[in-house]
Amino acid sequence: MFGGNQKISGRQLERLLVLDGVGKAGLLLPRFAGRVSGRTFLLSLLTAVFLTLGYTWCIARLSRKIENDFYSYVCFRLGRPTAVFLCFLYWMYTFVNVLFLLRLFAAIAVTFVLPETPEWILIVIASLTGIYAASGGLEVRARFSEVIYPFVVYPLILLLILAAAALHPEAFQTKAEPLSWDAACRGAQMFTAFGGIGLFLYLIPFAENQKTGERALFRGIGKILAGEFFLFLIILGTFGEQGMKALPWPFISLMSSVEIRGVFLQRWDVIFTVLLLGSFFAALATGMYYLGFLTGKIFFGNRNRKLRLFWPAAVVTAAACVCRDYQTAVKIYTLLNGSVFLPAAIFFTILLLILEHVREGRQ
Amino acid sequence: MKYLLKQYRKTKEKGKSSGRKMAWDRITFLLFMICAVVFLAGCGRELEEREFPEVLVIRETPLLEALEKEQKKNSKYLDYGQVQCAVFSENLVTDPEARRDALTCLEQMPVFARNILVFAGSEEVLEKVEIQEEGLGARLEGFYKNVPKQDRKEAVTLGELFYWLHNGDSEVVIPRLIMQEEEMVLSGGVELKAEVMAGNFARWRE
Repeated sequence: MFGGNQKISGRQLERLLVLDGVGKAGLLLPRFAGRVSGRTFLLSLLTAVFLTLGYTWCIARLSRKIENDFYSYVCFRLGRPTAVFLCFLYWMYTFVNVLFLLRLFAAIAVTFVLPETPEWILIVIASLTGIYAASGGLEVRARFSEVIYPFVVYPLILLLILAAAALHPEAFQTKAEPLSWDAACRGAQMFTAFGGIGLFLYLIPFAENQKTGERALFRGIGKILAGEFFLFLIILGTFGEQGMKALPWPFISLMSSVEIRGVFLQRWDVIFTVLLLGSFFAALATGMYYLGFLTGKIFFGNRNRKLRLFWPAAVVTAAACVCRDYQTAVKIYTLLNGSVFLPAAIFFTILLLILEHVREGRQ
Repeated sequence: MKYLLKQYRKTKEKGKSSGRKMAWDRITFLLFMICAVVFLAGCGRELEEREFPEVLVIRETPLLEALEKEQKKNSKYLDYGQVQCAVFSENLVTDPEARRDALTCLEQMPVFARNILVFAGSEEVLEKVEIQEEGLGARLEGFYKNVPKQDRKEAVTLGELFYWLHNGDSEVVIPRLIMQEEEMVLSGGVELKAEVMAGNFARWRE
């Protein structure tokens, strides 16, 4: 079934990226709506889109210089201590990301599907699923994402099309606003939701070839960004800007407001919610995989494959259970990932690009 | 237990590396499934302990207290996940404060779908609805869904009411139910003027 060569195709890579980002971004971004108008929110989202595309371009350019793996490349360019520090930086980013995803999964499941189940049970079960999927290695994870992708993404696309048919055109008739500094800052915060693409640098050696990997990266990111932009356009058109701000998860509320004629189920939106939760399993598998992978780089080398996965997974699961509630997890995510780890990772990415540029100039 | 021992013996027979790996994988998966079944199978109440009202009656606020009062009258747990229609008291619908409280509360409860049809009714209608006859929700939906296109009236859903509440720059007419020879029929509607709820930022935001 698997080649056993630790290589994944461009399609698998693309689907990994999409499943990693689609649920998280759709549920996290409304957090940044704050007290701004709908138009400003969309302008901020566009800013985040451009920032993400710029970062993606930097990563794609840098990935062309990587011959073996990113860790060895950084060791060669900046020295081993810097390579270990960068691994640690990404490890912390992934840790906070997984903690946030576990809390988000539990909050959504308890609010919409299983209201009487304690959150810690859902956190543990989601974590176990992520660990199990990650323990199979990259090929298993890629195949898992490839298989569940149509079941998650295509119904969500159907949902967007149906919701688009019930828009309120007057919701878009707001006064024109120029791009303000506040909107730009908000866009930078929103960019946090897409910042995990930096981990692609560790994944690129496992793609069939560098070109395939690069194209898959742009396709995956493009699909996420386009999907999120249209999603929020439709959310604004359906709920209006005040209505969107009043809802904690307008993406899921959108599901319950769409009507499908002739459907015998009363709450088929629960099915959509469950499918969305399915995307979290893929995202958690990705997160657990990177935690194990980076732990191996920092501590264990290539030994103890199971141990290097299980102990950080156990720690992040415990942290998610101890974390007070979903709101606390969001604060931790936006503060640590948005203000510390992601900017530091971007700094190193750009530094490496500059070094490559200087080196090429000298040659 | 026997299965686990069998797996362990299989490991010894097959040889150490690949057999042990497979056995450990199976054991891990089995433990996971046991945990999942034990924890989730007992999640909440059984179906037999629940009642699924088809129509929600809203006659007083605060709505949460009204729902709790209703729950205390019932021996079974009232699961509102299958509500098809909501009937507001005419007095509540025409009182801006009470109407806003009820709608705000409903919006924060995801158990109520946004595609629930909304009606207004007098006390007589509310009493009839509260009996919760079987098929009442489908009968009320039938005013809109089983009618030839030329006779089809404009339905109002909960989602449209929420939209009006937050962005209300147009009017909404909630269909009115009246009693006519022991049966409920539609007759006119309650007009809600344009109204914008200023400063309504949900408690989810800081």
